Amino acid sequence: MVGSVPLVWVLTLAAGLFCIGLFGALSRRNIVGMLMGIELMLNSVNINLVAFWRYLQPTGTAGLIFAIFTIAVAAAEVAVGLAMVIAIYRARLTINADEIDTLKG
Amino acid sequence: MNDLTFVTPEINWTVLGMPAFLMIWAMLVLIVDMFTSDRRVLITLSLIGLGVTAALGALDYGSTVSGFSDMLVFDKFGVLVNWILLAGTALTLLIAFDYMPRQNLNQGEFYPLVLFATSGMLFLVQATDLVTIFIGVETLSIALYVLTGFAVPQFKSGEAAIKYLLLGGFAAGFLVYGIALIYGMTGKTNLAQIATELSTWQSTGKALDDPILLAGVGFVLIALGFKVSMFPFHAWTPDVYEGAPTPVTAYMSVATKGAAFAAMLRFLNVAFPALKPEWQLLFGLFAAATMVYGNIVAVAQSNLKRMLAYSSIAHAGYMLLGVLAASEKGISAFTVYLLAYTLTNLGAFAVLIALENRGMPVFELKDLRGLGKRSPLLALAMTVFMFSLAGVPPTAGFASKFGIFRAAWDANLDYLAIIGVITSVVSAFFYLRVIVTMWMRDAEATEPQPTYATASLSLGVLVAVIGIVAVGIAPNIFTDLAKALVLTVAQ
Amino acid sequence: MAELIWLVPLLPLLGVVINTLLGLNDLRRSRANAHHDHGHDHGHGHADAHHGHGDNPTSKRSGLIASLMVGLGFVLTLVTLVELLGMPAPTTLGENNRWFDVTYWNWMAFGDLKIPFGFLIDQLSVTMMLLVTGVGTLIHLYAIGYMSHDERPTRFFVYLNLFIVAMLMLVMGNNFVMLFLGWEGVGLCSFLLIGFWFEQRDPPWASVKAFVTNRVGDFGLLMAMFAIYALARKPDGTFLHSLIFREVLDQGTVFSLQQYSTFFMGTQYTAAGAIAFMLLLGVTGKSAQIPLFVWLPDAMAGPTPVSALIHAATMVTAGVYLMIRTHPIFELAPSVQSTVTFIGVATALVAASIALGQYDIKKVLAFSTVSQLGFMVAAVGMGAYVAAMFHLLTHGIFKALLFLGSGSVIHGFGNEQDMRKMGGLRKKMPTTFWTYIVGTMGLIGFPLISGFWSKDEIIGHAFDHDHRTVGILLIVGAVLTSFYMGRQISMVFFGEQRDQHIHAHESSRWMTAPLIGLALLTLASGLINVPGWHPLTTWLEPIVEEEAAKFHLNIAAIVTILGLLAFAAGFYLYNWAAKHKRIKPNQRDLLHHWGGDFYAILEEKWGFDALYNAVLVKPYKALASFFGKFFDVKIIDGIVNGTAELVGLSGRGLRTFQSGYVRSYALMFVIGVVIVLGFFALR
Repeated sequence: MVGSVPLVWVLTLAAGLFCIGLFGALSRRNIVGMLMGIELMLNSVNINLVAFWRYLQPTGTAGLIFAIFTIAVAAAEVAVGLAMVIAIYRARLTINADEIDTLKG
Repeated sequence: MNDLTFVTPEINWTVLGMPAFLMIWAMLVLIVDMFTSDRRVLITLSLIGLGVTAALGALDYGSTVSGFSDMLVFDKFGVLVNWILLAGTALTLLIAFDYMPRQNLNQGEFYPLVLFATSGMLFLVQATDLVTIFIGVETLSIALYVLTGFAVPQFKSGEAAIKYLLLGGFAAGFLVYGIALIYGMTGKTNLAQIATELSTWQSTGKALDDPILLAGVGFVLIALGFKVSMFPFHAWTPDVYEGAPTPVTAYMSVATKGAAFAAMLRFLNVAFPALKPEWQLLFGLFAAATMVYGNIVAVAQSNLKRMLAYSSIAHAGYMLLGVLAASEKGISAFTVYLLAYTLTNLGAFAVLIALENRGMPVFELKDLRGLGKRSPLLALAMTVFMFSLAGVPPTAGFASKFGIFRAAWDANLDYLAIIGVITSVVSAFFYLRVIVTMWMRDAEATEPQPTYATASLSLGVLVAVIGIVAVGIAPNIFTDLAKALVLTVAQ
Repeated sequence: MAELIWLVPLLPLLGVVINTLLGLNDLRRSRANAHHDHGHDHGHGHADAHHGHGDNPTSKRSGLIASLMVGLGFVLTLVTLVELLGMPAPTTLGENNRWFDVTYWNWMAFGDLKIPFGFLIDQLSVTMMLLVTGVGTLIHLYAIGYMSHDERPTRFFVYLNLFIVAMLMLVMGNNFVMLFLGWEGVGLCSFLLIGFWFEQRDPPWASVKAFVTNRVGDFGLLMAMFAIYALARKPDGTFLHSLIFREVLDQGTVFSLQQYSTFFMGTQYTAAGAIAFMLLLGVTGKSAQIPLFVWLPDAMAGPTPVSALIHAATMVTAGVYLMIRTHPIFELAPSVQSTVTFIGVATALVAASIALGQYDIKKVLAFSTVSQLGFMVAAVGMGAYVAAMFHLLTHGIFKALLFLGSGSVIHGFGNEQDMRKMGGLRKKMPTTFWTYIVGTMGLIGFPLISGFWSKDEIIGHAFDHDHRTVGILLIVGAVLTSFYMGRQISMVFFGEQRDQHIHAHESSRWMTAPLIGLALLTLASGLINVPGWHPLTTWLEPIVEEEAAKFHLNIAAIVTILGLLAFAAGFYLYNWAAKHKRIKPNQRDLLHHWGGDFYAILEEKWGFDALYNAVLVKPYKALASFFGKFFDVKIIDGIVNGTAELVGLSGRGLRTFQSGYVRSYALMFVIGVVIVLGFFALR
């Protein structure tokens, strides 16, 4: 398998996913949508890490371990983020990022 | 079956001691919180934990120990910065003690959360591996998201928290992406090993300016720059500082900066000294922009918390000079600056806390009118803090700024030193405006506003004032100390 | 004790802190009360600024704290003295074992210049410390009574304690920068205390005058410090770059200051001479010598304990201390030494003559102080360091006594200072009178008391060392001194009270007790360096390397007889004048009737003030108003305001980027990322 798919393809996939996530985070007005975009960014990096491990350093473990850490951190962040979304919805009855703009200047 | 024996990894407690103890202690405080609602118990326990953590640093102070496959290090620089962070945390708890119930924020989780964040910072300061840097950044960040939203029934606290979280997550994405790229290019995550790898590149004639590697370095620096509110990654700072509960703002403005800058220092000096011309130029421009932007926009602020937020952006620019100087002098100047800034900014926020009523929507400059008459001691302390922020001798602010500018000058970053001096002059405008408002304007309000200079807060303010004056009058004691401490970082 | 010496300045500093806190507490309480009965006392407010009615209890509280701190310092200094005495006495000339030099921390470092925060405790500094803390304690106690009717006694004692701290820094510091710290500190405290009653017309002006005049002198001291730093070399030829006394004043180092010289207008000037001259400028400012003496008489606008402590006993002697401390430099410049002597003698004579023309009881004493300082400066110029020090000590005691006595008179005479309204007060204030007589005896050199020994030692030294003219002129000065004291005693204490509206009374025991104490000290102070025993000479010998002065019976006899005659002349002349109703308020002096314009010159202080006003103050004011009203407003402000406007404008403009939309923040972030990537790509 290592021979059949070149590393560059995998990296391009990961970069593509990262950009999609980035675009999502920038373009969605819904906070949940933005959070999903950010998740996509973090997860695309996991592909990167695993690919680097598999292709360049199959004997080491750093890439794998790091991917696990990233997953854990992403999960924790989303947990906090969704809790906040709920709190904000209760207070303002909206989760539109563009309507949450009282702090500015 | 023999190969299934469980190998216990060797735990080096010297290296892990400070962050690990604080983390465990924070959990303990969390458990205690379930059984008692007495804030005094919680703050006492928390302060004890901070004290013991600081003492752990003193135990093996002076030695340099690496552990966990060199992912963490225990060295003089780390311990010194950790001590400053611990002192800042202790001051935060003192000034928050009476504020939280006054704002109807009685949840006891406040104390363990602050300790969790601090423990993440200590971890970050000691980190010498990209993996541990990431873990440290995220540990402190997630605790801070929650702390920012701690007053969440309040409108602004929630908004601040979600903004911080979204942009923080955004930055985290770039951080991991950058780490992944560096890992992919060098095959290493350890900072020292990356440097070794790069030097083999140099000896084999392989070009160092590989675009993917450079992008990786750039992304990591961007993410750390986000944490210290470097322009143009600062945008979250004013909103989050305004919306968060004031003690949390005070805490964020000093502790997060200190830890992230320490990580940045190690990242640049240990892993990428070979790319020094590149990052010195690019981030020199960012530092200049940060100093200019922070100080100029601060002039236009009438809300005090926002003014201090922009001022903290500006001070990030000054600290960045010390980091970019990448010399022994620069690192020692940075450490002294961090100490001075921690004391000063916490003190300034403490004065705001003492004046903040329950549910006050905004804290405007004009609310300070007549403070000199109303409570002269508080006004006097605020005067000291403003002088120190503006860098007027004989305060700590002057001594530390002087050190930073001199380090930058000696490192051939003379244009940055000049911009620093000019922007400091601009900054005097809005700091002195606070002093003038306090002493020379009479209050409009017929009903005098109450002040809440309670015992714990006064203690915090007093410690800050004494520290500022001590550093200001005898800066040599601290610079000498810092000089001896930081040798291990600047290899 | 060497380990505890830092307590001596720290204790008064503690007093400053305690009294400040107490004062703030009082302020808060009184404000709370004022708030409480707001409606009642509208319109009163500042009507009776100070000198309010009744006793102010805070005076006793704050005063006792302040006095205790200084008193403890005195005890500690005494212990130090004993300890120094316990160290081995020098066996050969030039050897000195009785000192210790403690450095606490490295205060400042600029390049290779290191300024330590440390104290040099030797014979000279301990002697000064004894005077400062000893006389200081008595004056603090006296001030408890004196300030008892004042509105702000706590603030007064804070300033007074702060002064003691600064003065101790000045005499204890082991380097020029520490000395300068104290030098400026006492200047600041003097400023604050002269202007203490700032609601009145004169004190604020007098305080500004004192401060500005002193700054002229400070310029000299600063220049001298810079020159020493820049020029002093070690014996091996390398630059010393230090301002520590023991290093700079080391024999080998000081000689290096003679190597630089320059010709100017046909005369050769050495660096040592230039430095000594600069130091002398500093001395003329602080010790009120010609040409900078004009501030001291006006400084009498401050409360009388201040005049006694700062403007008679301690601060004004700082210049003499400085010259003795740096005497190795002066000795390398004989021409400057002559200048010093000349200035001292001229000041002694001019000031003594002006004292004849004063009607204000404190002004007479002020000019007397200037004149006596002239004696000391002249002595230093002649190399009579021990005599100068001796006179400094005796004068510090008896002049403090006289000032406190005059304060007691003023206090008991309805705050009136015009001697023409007084008279006959000896019956109404017997304690004040008798102690005042003792002080006067000290000043005019009554046989076997205080000034008799110290003044004669100076005059004797002049005749011994071929300064005959100086000696004769100083005798003239002494005669003038006796005359104006006779005049004053007669006008204040004898005859009939001329202004009958004032009810005179003796002062409280808080004030009379220190008077008695100082009177006893005055009687005994001649022993400090009595001929034959001369303990002060033995004590200071290792520092100044000077042999004991000889006592000349013939000179002493001449001076004493002339002095007593002059005293009697002044006394009886004004007694006679009083009897024939020739002294009246608002009427010019008897001597004016006879002396005419010459006496008017004395009244006008030889025109120094008028001259300075015409030559310096008025042109300066004109220049200032040009800059203030035109240059600054139109040009500088235009530039500054323009810049500020620009900054403010751009600040307001940049604010709009902070739109509050989190997605636009993310976009800014991405733009930053693009910049970074673009930089790396295009580099």
